Amino acid sequence: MDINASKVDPKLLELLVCPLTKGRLSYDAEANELVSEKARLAYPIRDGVPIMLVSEARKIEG
Amino acid sequence: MTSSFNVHHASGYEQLMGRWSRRLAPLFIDFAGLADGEKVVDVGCGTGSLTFALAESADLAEIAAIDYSPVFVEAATLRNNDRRITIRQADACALPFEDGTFDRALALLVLHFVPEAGRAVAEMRRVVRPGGVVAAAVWDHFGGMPGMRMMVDTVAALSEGGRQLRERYCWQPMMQPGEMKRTFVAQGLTGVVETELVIRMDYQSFDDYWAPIAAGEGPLGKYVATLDPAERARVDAAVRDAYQAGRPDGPRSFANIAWACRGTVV
Repeated sequence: MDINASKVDPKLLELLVCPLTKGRLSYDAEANELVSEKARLAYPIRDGVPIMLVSEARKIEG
Repeated sequence: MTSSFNVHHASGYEQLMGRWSRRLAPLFIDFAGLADGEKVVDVGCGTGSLTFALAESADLAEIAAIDYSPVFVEAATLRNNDRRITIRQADACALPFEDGTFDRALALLVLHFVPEAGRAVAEMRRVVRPGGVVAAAVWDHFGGMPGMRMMVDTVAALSEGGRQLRERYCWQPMMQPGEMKRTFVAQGLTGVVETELVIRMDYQSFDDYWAPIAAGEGPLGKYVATLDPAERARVDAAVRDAYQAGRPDGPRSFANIAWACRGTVV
């Protein structure tokens, strides 16, 4: 079984951009997060659902 | 705060409003328009009343649904077995989509719970391509919902807290005549049209009407949940009396008016 596929349906990642910057997102399969480099934010994916809220995003330090 | 809606349980919402928003959805789709092959975003999908109605109404290419509430996102996701539908948690005022992604952006019974509703309309406009359509519908709490006004007028007669509830309830965003139309125009949409959509809410009994509110669901439920037992008993009895209107308990039917507005993206 593909461990990444168990985390999120790739179709759920299509179309999405950072809600803050409207810039592109990259999927970090390890952390199961959607990373906005420009905003320095990582949006979590919980129970397979992308949480596209700035208030729920993890700040990327450094 | 980007949503003022109060939801505890998706099943409670279904009984309070979901069953009626499902009834309203086809009327709203007729008004908003829809064509085969389109990509549509459902802003504030709730339990999916509009989302799943969209899937049945046309051969759409894509239906992207978002909601601010994790309770709603989970409920809609559990219901979904349509590959064209994707559901994510997001804010109507900060949509996670690129400019011009969709042919239509629709919001059914959402904008009156968004304090900065104008920002949500601006975001809907942004994610729709030129020539595409933005459409929304909200309840007319003040003048178009006798079944709910009956409850808020009853509690307003009983206490100051009830009067404050009535004020909040009657003056939510986008509910005044022409208010949504002005907002659409202010956000740069063209050919803006506002109309009224009417459905009836049919209850089997007082309990059918009151149970979701008594369980704390929605803005009215949130209020009754704050009452002490004596006040609560007075409210229950007074609202029951208003529902029955002097006749034995049984079915009652109320007309309900929603404002609907649509505009085209330049």
